[in-house]
Amino acid sequence: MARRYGSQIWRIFLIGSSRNERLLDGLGFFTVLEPLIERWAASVEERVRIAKRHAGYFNANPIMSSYIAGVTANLEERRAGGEAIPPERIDRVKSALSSVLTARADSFFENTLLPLGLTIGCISAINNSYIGLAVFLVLYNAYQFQSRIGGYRIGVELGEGVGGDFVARLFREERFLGGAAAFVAGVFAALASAGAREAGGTRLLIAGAVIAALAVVLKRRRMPVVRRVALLTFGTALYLVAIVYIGRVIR
Amino acid sequence: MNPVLSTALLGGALAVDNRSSLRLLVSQPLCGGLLTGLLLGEPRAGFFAGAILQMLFLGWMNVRGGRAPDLPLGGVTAAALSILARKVPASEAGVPGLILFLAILGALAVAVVGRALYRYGESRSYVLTETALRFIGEGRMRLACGLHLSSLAAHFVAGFAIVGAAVLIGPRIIAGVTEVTPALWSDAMGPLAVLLPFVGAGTLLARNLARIRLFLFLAGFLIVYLMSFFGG
Repeated sequence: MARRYGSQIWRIFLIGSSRNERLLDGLGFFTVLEPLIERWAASVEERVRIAKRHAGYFNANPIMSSYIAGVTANLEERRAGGEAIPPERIDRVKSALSSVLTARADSFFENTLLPLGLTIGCISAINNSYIGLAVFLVLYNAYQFQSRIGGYRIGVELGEGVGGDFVARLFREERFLGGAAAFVAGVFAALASAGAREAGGTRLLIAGAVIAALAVVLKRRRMPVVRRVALLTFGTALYLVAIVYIGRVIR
Repeated sequence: MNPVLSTALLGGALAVDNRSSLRLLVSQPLCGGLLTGLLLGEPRAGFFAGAILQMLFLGWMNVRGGRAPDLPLGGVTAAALSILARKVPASEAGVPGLILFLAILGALAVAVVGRALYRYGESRSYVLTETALRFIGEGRMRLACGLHLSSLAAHFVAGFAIVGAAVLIGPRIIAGVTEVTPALWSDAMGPLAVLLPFVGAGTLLARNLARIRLFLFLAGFLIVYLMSFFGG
């Protein structure tokens, strides 16, 4: 497989490198297909025409782009082989797959898998261990490599017809992983609380609970993340200094 | 190797992982902090600073098209500043809580600058796109691909420059601040590392307020908290 698809697969991993406001990942998508275009075109003019079609606007989740590139390669290959597939159909399939797969992949990779892995990593960091970090990297990259390399191969070999099965199989675990992420988040909160109780007793535990409550409120108010984090970090530091001052005044 | 140069090189490499859609996620602060610590000879300290920054952003999702802070550069900066600031003579006696606080602030500033620079580059890269499209029109496909891949170098240079500048001046600034900060303030910030994870815990709770998710969150919380409470 590496020999057959090697020249496309390494490009798939860099599809979003030149992301820009005009074409988004269009140039990256063209770069993935570039080694194949010569095979599909009978003349130089045809080559330029195909290249121009695939260097247009393209916006998709970078991980699932591989499957879309595979399906596009499959359709172009069949078209070059003489099947009556109009270019408009290829463009339609490409854009339909982009919107459907991007929504699913963003939800799976960004909303579920990434927070789960990072929370596991942070739990082990609280315990001064690197194991969680290793688990996070292996977990995320196992899904990523499976989707990118496997997705491209399935797209090239089987075409657009198997898209539903492929997505269903890939995202079957999403509900389970989402539940696991919620449970693990609770574990993280418990360990943070236990650490605060050990370090400073009930006083620090209550302070931690107030910080967490403020984080919930600010998140629900949709305050930008950097502002929220900066505000809470400053607030925490200020609280710690104020408590020491007040303690000294009382004494 | 010079610590500024080595961390700047790491910043450049992690910027490539983050911005190129390679996304092996070694650029997350949790991992970036450890790598920085390894480069500077203090893996535990680097991992700790990176983990604290990661915990502050735990539960945050990068929504498509949203304004994502450049956390990878922030992670390297937080780790490098917290390690190197302690080596500047003026801040040798500084309390870790204060140094951590200042390193986190430096990391946040770097994350904002990194994002601004990336947005600027994204809006200006139409020149590169136009040139690539012209090459495609002329049948020079390889050159168009080369232009696409050349953006990797731009990501590397941006990461290198931002982290390099932050690590060059950051430790001295932290040392200066530590020197003029009253001892009482420095001592007071001792428990900062214990409290900052609550920012992430709160954000995670906010993400899991739906019925079943909240039940699972509370189950995880109660099981582990009670176990730790009763000495399990």
